[in-house]
Amino acid sequence: MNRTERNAFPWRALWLIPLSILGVLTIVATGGGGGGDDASFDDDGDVGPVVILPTYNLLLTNLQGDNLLTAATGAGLTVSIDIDGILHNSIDLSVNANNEVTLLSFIAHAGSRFDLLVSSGGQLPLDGTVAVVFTEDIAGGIGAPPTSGAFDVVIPNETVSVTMVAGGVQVSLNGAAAVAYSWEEFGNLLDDDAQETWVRRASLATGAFEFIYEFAFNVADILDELELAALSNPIVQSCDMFTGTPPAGILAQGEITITWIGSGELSDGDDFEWLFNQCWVDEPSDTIDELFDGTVVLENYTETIDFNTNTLFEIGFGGLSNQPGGVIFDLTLSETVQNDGVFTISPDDILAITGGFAIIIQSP
Amino acid sequence: MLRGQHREEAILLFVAALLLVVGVIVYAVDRGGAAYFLTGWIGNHNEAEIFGPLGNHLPTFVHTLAMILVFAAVLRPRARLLPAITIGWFSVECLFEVGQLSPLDAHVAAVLPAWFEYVPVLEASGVYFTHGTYDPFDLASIGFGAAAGYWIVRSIERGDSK
Repeated sequence: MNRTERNAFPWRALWLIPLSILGVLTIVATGGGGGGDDASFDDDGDVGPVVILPTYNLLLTNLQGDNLLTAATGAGLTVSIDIDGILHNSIDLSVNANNEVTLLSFIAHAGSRFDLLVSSGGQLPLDGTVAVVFTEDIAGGIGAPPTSGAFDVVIPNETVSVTMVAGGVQVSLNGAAAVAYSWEEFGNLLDDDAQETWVRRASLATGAFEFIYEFAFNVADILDELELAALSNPIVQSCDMFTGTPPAGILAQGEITITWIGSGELSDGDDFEWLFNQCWVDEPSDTIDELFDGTVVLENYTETIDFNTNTLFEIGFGGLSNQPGGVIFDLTLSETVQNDGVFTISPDDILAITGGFAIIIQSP
Repeated sequence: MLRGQHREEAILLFVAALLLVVGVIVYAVDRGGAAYFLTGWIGNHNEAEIFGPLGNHLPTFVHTLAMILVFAAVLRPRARLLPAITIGWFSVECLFEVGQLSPLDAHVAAVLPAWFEYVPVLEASGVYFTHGTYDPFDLASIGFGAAAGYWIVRSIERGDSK
């Protein structure tokens, strides 16, 4: 090596910077093939109805900017759900000849976790941050309580294990003997001042679990209708009609309007507005039902088709990497109680729901 | 005519370019264009077989090998840097492969900056991890690529010193 070559070396080494970037980008640009199996990307070619698989991953994460899903009750209790990274779940579904999807069952995978930020202004002994850690896969049918699985409800020096069984839960404090409750009993413990705090906290955590999953499944359930919303914008659906005298100032029969905010073809980045106009949902088996009023904005639609197999690879709102968008609530949920054919709403049973979550459904 | 060191560098770069072309052919033909960088370029998505089962792990092998050759060419004749180059690219390639392992893949995707979505190629990084396929045989092919790169460059260095 002569003197000139020695001196030239540092300048040549600068080439390593763009070459390193190029090297890494070429890895990413392959899409991650291994064993001949690749991730696939959008393609403009239309090749018939998209194939929908019988099982998908359902991934939930916080909205950009941690605009947490928050429920504030009329009684002064405010609970925010802070997802730790991503909630990993899988869903089984069936698809009919018209490519209409029915969600069948779900599994919330062990290892996922969310935190509850609880505030009652000192009215309840539940204030603080509570970790809800899934210790076993939690499984159940859509629209029904889980039938198996477990999670821990953790605060400093206290771990409550909640194990789900058919018909209810078994709850244990710091490894002590478990106490069994039916779902209805367990749900009512939160508002029971006579109960010990740890039991009420576990009841709250279970309610929060049901809350976020119920909304996630509701959003997942309408995804197959969005193509239709783009074709016959907007879609208007009637809600259930009150089977007696509705609460004061409430319509006897409300409606849901799904409006696509876009033009041309349904495409990535589009938004939808899901407007609930005093929409009552009747649970025939229960005297307590729910009334929805307000909006849910479904922001930043994303859909990816695997063009090799024409299979739906990914669909949802927002993203898993802190992208903008997701399911954003500005909704009031009220519990209606029926007595002798007259429906009423207690101010304590009105939930104001704000914030939200990003939802991505992805092929396994 | 290139002479001496420059000739060796040109050979290394030429071989690296050939290897990368082989990698592109694997994706374009054996995998029917199923790669981000070929989207919109390949009209026919039918897969043909040129490399057979070898094509499953050839891209990771040739990419690792090619990058080592390119870096060795740029840094020649600093032979003492060869182990660092080899280990460096072996590590980078392995990290990307292991990043596709579930459930790590979703965690990796979750920490990617949001602005990646607006940058060509980087926009595919989330999908790379969450839907790319982790394959231990790819790790092996990366190892073989690194070993081959080290051997090739070392052989050329030995030729220089004679």
